[in-house]
Amino acid sequence: MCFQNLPIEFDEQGNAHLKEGVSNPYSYETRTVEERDRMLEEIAKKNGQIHDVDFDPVTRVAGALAFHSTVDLENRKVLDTASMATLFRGYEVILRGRDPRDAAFISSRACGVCGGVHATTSALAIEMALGIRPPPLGIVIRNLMLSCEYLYDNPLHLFILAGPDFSEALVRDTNPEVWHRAQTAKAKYTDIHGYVTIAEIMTDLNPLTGKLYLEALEMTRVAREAYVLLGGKYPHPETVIPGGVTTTVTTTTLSEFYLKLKTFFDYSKRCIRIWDDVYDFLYEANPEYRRVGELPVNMVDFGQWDHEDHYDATYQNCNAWGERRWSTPGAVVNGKLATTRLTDLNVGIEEFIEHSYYEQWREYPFKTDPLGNPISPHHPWNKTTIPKPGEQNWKQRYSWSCTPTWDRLTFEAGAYARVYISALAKKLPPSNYFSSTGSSLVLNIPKDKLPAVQLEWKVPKMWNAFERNRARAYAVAFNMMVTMENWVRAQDLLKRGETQVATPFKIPKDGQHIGVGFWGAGRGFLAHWCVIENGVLANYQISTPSTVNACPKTPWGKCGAYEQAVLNTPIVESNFSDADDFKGIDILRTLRSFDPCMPCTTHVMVEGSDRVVTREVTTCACGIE
Amino acid sequence: MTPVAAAPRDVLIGLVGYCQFVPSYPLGPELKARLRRVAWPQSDNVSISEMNWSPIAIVQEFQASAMGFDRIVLVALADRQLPPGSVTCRRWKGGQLAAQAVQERIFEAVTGVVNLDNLLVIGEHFGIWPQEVVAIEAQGPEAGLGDFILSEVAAGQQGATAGVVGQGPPSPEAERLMDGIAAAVCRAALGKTLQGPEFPALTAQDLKPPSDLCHTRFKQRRQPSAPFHDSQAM
Repeated sequence: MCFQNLPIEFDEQGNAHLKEGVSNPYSYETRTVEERDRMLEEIAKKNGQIHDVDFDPVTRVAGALAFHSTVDLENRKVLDTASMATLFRGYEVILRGRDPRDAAFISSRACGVCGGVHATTSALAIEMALGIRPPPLGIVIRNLMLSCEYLYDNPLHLFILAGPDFSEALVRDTNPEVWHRAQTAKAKYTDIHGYVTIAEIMTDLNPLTGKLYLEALEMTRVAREAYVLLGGKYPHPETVIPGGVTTTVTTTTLSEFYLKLKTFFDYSKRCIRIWDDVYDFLYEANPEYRRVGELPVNMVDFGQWDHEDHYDATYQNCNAWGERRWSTPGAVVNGKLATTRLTDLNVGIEEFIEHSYYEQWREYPFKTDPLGNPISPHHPWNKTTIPKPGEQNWKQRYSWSCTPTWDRLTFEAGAYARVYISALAKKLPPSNYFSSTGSSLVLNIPKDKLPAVQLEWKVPKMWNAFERNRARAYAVAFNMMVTMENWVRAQDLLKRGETQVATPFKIPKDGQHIGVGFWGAGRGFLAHWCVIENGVLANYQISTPSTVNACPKTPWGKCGAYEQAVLNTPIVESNFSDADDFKGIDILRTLRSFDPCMPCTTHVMVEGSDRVVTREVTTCACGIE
Repeated sequence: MTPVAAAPRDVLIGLVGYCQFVPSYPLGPELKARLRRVAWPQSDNVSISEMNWSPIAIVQEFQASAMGFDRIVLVALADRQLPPGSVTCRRWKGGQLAAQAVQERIFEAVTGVVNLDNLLVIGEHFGIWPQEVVAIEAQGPEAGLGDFILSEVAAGQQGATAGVVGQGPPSPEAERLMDGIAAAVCRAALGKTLQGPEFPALTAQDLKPPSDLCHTRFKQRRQPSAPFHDSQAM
């Protein structure tokens, strides 16, 4: 019984149906935020130390995420928050009416960092809609390409984007008492990373000059080069298509690929132990850090890296092939695994627009999924994207992001979710490189210059900003081990002469076909839903991790992940006397722990038109071509 | 085109920008083809390269290949608040920027943004530039969000965009712009010296700064007596 809020129950065969006697099963009450207003007004009357703090932009990419918070500096509390995606994301509108074969190439442009994952998710959706099963090598190569994207993305976040928040430069400025302590604090894992004190690590996290910062830049290059060996180009591969890939792979290609990626063996060990040391130290330095970005554990991930023996692209079998993925799909609610079935994840997804710049759609064409499970009128297969720009109003509409929920709960997405869910589910296929225990993920990382080690990520007692980043560091090693598993499988397939990488297909000229691509980005949860009618895309919906994390409040007043995590964040920053020199580092650490990537949630809308542009997607406004 | 005066140098001409996705914006490919038709002197080694990648990727390419050029000419569209179709040609002089300012541009670079200013600053920080670097910047048409792709917007602008950047066969205005850029590139690539008023200096301090990475703005201090709703506005 995985649903606690939606009126859905299951028969003995596991088929879902709506509970009997519920007249309006998908109705909900909308609540205004008048209570919030009253609460803040009361505090304002008693306390002159309340300030509105805006972080705009939080990510520099297209400047598209702004975050508003109200802070009580005297009591070191965040009182109110609002996360805004400030530009319209319009791929759903762009793709309407197009040839399904265009979807992978167009949706890839949703992100300048992780375009390949969108291309692949799109390919999966089309495969499901049209019944195209890729050959084994096509599936395995797609997995290897995905790993490269993650190996680019996660170290980038850990050391280039979020790492500076934990560097000497920042810590010395915001919390000099912590920096003072770091100078004598011994690192626990010197044998792995070579640093004797925490301060040495923090110094090497300094932006531009720190060795760890510069090394991460170099590692992003290694991952990109490995990707290009298989995908031809990066970030927007032309080689990902429904039915597989169009790349030619030989044992030489795989050998070159291995030589590139083997540098990640030692790098991933060091990644883990560096962040283990930093976060363990910070908890000791100030236990309040445990509350920075704290949330109950509610997360959803679709899993990724298909097993070539099981994936058949059908919705009918998606629970079986989903649970054989190299990371397990699932939903975690309050720390407990609610389900690992892709159909449950799909059935529970809804998107709300009460606080977003969209009009409510009226159509409800799909009452059930292809297996007869009930789906909501707010489900992406039923959704129509109708942009409606307007003034910002905290009580009404303030974001271009919609509000995705699963079982009417907001949740979070991230690289850490695949670590967390895979650890809890204990359903990973057998591998020499990793295993799940039900409460941890065990990683067997081979020898390179450093000796082989077995590292174990354990489900943490609390879930906060630091644990998100720590799990992301373990995700680097998890990615690497999945890469090894699939690299060996690719070699075996080539040895057996199974060299086909794609399955040919035709677009049917008539009929209705629906599909969904369940996949993941470097930042977690990613799905594309498509409806193909008479040979063209009649509807296309994309749900990204940053939409999930940066969403505005639900119609019934529940915060999204960013909003709630910042609300829960104490102000640990010590080196400020008033609003003028307050940096807000704890809020920023919280936000960055989600790895915000706003190109995923924002694009450009032209007022007075229902059409959209992609010019800001992968380039600045200075593009000459 | 007629041959231009010789000057023995290894010269890289880099076209900076990336918009392969938009079919109605063909200035870059047209310009590249036009530059390739220039009869560059035999004594020179002139390379024409698309630099439509993250500045970090370009830095790494330079570092990996140990590419050595005597002069680099970077060409891009840029918004310098000049009349549309203006072409400026400035010699990059570098200059010191605060670490945070460089980090802000790296932040953009690693997340997919291609931009001439970022390339100049990041290239400077990592020391990839030779002594002689020229930035040629063409001012595009006044652009709102959505220009260049929407037929209704293009129609609304009465062909202004098409006139400046060209759509379909290059318009006379687009021809003139490309002629202007090509002439500036030739002068910059082959001129014996970059001294003098023809090549005014461009420094890091002249560039438009990106918005702060994570600036904190205290929009308004809430006064106990103030009506609450007045302080809600961003």
